[in-house]
Amino acid sequence: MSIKGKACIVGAYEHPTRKAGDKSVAQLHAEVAKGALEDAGLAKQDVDGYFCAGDAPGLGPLSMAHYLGLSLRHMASTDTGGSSYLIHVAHAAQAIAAGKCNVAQENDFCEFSQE
Amino acid sequence: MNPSQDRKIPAPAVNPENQPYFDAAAEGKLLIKKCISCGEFHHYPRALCPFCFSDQTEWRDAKGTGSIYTHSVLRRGVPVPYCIAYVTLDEGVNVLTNIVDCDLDAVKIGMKVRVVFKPTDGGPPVPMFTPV
Ligand SMILES: [Zn+2]
Repeated sequence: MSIKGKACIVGAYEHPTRKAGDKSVAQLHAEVAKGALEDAGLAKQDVDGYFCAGDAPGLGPLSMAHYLGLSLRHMASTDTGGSSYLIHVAHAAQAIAAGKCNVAQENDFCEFSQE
Repeated sequence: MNPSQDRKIPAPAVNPENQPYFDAAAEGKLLIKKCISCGEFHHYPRALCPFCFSDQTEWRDAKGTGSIYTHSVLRRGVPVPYCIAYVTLDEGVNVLTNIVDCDLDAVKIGMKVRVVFKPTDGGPPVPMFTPV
């Protein structure tokens, strides 16, 4: 069975900030989520799937869904370091193909060591 | 039937987003966030409104009064019994907090409460609530 053609990437966003001393980690995740949704022409009410890794604060997708005010049907938090986010894309495509969600949001956040 | 005793409260995780909230708490003031795009209050305080994603959110002084939405008293496995609760502020938002300085057996849903500030272990004080 193939899931080829069952899901596609509809929006992306790279946060312009490099040294974010004035923002919380959750806030950075949220601003990236907002930017990707605007790029896709979607509203946050459209999002019913959420994926993030161990860099998200608190309980990962649970805490971020609370922060963002998302109403989700599906979430996942595979953490395999820097490859987490590629795996999230695969898992999101699988979830969409399986009917677990329609619009999946994946937040990729690389936190570099602070000075 | 004992009135609740003060327990050791861990310091909250202060970050740039919630710094004004804890600075105000240190001065005995309760702040909440209001979105000037959609008009909704929210709590805990966020830079982006959880209702509409607008970044046009502003700090407002809360009245500091509300009522108990729900609660639970923890007695087992903790050094000092305490009451965890959601308090609905008069502004309409729910705050996850503790009910303090009272007989924990007398705490009831719907009870009117007001904010008090409790010291933490090495951090700013945190807002908790006591029956009025
Ligand atoms: Zn709003």
